[in-house]
Amino acid sequence: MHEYSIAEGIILAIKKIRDYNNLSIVSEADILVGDLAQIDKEVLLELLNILSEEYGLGRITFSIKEEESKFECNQCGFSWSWSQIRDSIMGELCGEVEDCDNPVHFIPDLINVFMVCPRCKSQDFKIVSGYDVRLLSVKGVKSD
Amino acid sequence: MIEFKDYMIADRLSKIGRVVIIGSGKGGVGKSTLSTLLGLRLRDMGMKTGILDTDLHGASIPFILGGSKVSVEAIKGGFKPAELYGIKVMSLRMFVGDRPTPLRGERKSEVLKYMLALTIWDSLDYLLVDLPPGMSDELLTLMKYVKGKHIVVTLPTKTSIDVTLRYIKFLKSLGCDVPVVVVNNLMNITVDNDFILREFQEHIADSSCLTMPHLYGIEEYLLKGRLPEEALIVIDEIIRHL
Repeated sequence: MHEYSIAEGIILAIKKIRDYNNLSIVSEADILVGDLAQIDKEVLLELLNILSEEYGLGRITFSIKEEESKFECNQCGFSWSWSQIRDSIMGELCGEVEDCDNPVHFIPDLINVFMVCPRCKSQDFKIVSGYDVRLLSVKGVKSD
Repeated sequence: MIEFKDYMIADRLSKIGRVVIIGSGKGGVGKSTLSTLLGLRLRDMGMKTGILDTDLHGASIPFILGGSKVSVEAIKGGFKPAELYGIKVMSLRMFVGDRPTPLRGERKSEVLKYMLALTIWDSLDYLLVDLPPGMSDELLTLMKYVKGKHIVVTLPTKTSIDVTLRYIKFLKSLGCDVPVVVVNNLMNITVDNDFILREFQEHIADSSCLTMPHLYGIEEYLLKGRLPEEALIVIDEIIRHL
């Protein structure tokens, strides 16, 4: 369900970029997805294709790149990645179910509420990379 | 790098009639209580009303309205606000429950942007925005995306008035409309009206200064979604200015 919101946001952004830059056609859009956001990329791509038609943008070639989420503790300087602790955090958020709607999926910035530094147990850490979904670039053809 | 949230916020707020921002600069002055009182009164007047609780470290609106266990629900396009006594409510408490929220500046701005971009309010007559204390990320982020009238709340104490005046100066420097300052007599002390008016007059000559009387048992009233009679005169006067 949350993938729909993300897809709609990206399409709204592309539409406004098209209008602002006076593009007659939007041909390509590159998207970056941090794994912390737990986005189903196939579902996102399918929704982007549907919504780009619905919003009158026509056919766009979407490229979705993944980025590993990495963290660094502000207290002890330790670094770690989402893949190292994913299973334990997801177990806490979703229980027996492998994936679920959860606060970090909705708002990745809330990871500080649900995760601690594996070394010093502080919740004061920064997200170094790969924390949510970003539109990297939009390509198209200018109107005459 | 293009942030899609920036493009969604205006779209999500497009069906909202009026935005009213309740702040202070000082903590513990009754901002959330006043936001809730206003919400209940507007509801009684037949207005479709929402409250956005932007106090990320001390989110309390669901708790005040007896909805401390309410959690967020994902719907097509975003998050569905909770419906508490006829008021739509969105609060970080609905995402994190009673967990502490140790968030630094940038994280707070992003959380608030997500809440603004993805909350599906639909059409509202009034959106009341309950601010946290201070002039930090929540206020600054909000002011980038949301325009509205500001209600400023203070206690009738010299310390509170001193901090609140700085808050008002900040709002005025940005050209914000501050139609009402509410002196909230939370502690039930004898209010020196002359002192308060003297202090405020220089900075808020074009604003009304209203004193909210001490409201006995206010928490119990709000838990039941009810308004105490003693609050009505001031609340109605505030609404007249919105």
